[in-house]
Amino acid sequence: MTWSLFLHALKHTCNDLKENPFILTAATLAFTCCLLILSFSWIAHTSLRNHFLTMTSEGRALIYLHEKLGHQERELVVSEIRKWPEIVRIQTTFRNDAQSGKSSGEKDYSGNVFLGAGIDGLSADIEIRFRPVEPSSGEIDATLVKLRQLPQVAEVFDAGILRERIEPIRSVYDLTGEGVIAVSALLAVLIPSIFTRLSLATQRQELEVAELLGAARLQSRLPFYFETITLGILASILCNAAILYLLWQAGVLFPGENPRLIRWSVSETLFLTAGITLCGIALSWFGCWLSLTENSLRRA
Amino acid sequence: MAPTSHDSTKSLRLPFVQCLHVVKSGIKYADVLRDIELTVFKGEIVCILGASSSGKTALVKLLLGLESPDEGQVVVGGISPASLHSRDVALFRRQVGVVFQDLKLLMRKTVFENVSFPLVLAEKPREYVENKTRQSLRDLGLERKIYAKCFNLSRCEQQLVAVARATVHDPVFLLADEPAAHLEEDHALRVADHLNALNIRGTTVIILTRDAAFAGLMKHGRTLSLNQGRIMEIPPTGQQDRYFLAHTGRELLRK
Repeated sequence: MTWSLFLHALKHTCNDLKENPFILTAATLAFTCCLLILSFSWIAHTSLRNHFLTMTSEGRALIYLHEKLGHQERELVVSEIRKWPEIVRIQTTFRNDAQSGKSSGEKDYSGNVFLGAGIDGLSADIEIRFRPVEPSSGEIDATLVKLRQLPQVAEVFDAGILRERIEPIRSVYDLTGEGVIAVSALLAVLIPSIFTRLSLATQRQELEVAELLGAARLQSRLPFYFETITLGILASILCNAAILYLLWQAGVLFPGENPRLIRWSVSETLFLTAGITLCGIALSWFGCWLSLTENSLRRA
Repeated sequence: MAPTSHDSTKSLRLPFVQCLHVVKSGIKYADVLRDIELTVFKGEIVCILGASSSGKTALVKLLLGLESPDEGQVVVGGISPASLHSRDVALFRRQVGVVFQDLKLLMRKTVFENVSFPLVLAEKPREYVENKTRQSLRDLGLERKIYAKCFNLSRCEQQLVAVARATVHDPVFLLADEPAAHLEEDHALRVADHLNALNIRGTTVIILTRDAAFAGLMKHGRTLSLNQGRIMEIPPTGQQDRYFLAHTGRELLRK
C-alpha cells in the first residue's frame, strides 16, 4: 500500500465523517458507553479477584469479637494483640487508639476489612497479618490458638476457613463478572459493526465504482477500516477521560486513604488507559471486519 | 512516413477480444444477444452501432466479466473475464478503461478526485497522478473545472469526466458505452480525437453507440452494427461523408 493510497483513504474517511457527523456522534457515544461498562466490569472483576486472593493468602486471619463488647474492651484486645511480636499488622473496623492519637501503634490501620466472609455476612472486627515464617514452623497455628483463648474473641478465621467460606461467593462473583464482561464486549463489537453497515449503505456507489475500476480487496475496505478505527479512538479517548475522572473522584471520596477496590498507581493507570485504547481499537476493527464480509459487500 | 501502432498491430492480426457464439438471455435481457461472433484485433478501434435496447450494455457487461454468457465464450486478452478469480479481477479491471452509460461518477467528489481514481488504485506516485490527471483533463478541455464537484457540472461535462477517467491510465483496452451520449458537437469531436490518440498509442478500443455520426469520427475504425442480437459488419465509406450523412439522417428523422 502506497502513501498516496493511504492518504486517499484517509481523505475519503474525513470527508465521509464530515458528511455524516450525526452517525459518528451517536456511534461514538454508544461505543463509549459499551467501553465504559466493559472497563468497569473488568476493573471490578480483577480487583475483586485480587482481593479474594489476598484475603485467603497464608499469614492472615480475621478476628470476630463478641457483639456485646464495649469500645474499651475492643481496644483492650487490640492493645493486647499489638504486643505480640508474631503479628506485624493490625487492621480494625472500629476507630481505635492508634487513630485517636492515644498510642503510637505503627501496626494499626482503620478501614473496611472484608465484606461478606464473616458470621452472617458481616465484616470482621480485626484483620491481622502474621510475621512471614515457614508455614511448617507451627508459629501461626500457635498464635491462632492463643487468639482463640482470648475471652473477648468470638471466632478466628484463618486462611483455610476463609477459603472454604469465600469459595461459593467467589464463584458467583466470577461468573457474574465474566458474564457482564462478555455481554459488554459483545455490545462493544456490535456498535462498530452496525456503524460499518451504515457506512456501507451510504457509500454503496463509491464502493461499486471502486470495484469496477479495479480496487483490490484491501483498497475497497480501507476507508471503512479507517472510519471504524477513528470511531474506536474517539470512544477510547472519551472512555479514558471518564475513567480517570471517576478514579480521581474515588480518591477524593477517601481522602488520605487509598480506596480498597480501585487502588491504582500511576503506572497501573497508564497501563489501564493504554489497555482501554487498544481494546477500543481492537474491538472496532473486529466489528468492522465482521461487517465487511464478501456477502455484505456484494449486497451493498 | 513512420508506421503508426495501428498499422503495425493490424499487420500482426492478433485477436484481442473474441466473442465465440455468445448467447445471453434472461428476464432482464430477454434474448438480447443471439450468437454473437466478434473478433477485435490488438490495437484496433471498433465502433458497434446499435439502437436503444439492442444489447450494447449487455455486451459491455460480458466483456468486463460482470456477467457470464449463457452459451459461448468471451475472451479478452487471452482470458475469460467472467471466470477470473476474485483476486485477479482487480488486476484485469485496472488494465481496462470503461466509459459507463450511466457514467458512474462519484458525484460528491471533485473532478480531479474522480479522474485520478484509477491511478490512485494502481498506486502510482503522487506527482505522476497529478501530472497525468491534469494532462487528461486539459486534452478534454476540463482544466478549469478541476476542483469542481461533479454534481455541479453539466451532463456534458460529466460525460467528459467519465471519458477522462476511463482513459487517464492509458488502458490496454477501452470499452466505451455511449461515450458521446450527452455531448455537444464540438465536445464530441474532442472526445473522438482523444480516443483516436489513445488508439494510436496502442489501446484497443471498442465503442458502443447509437450515434452513427460519432462512429464516423473514428479514424481507422471498423464499424459493426448490433441488430436483433447479432453483429454485422458495415462496409467502410468516407469518414466525413458518413458523418454528414448521419447528421442529415438524424435531422430528417426529427422532422
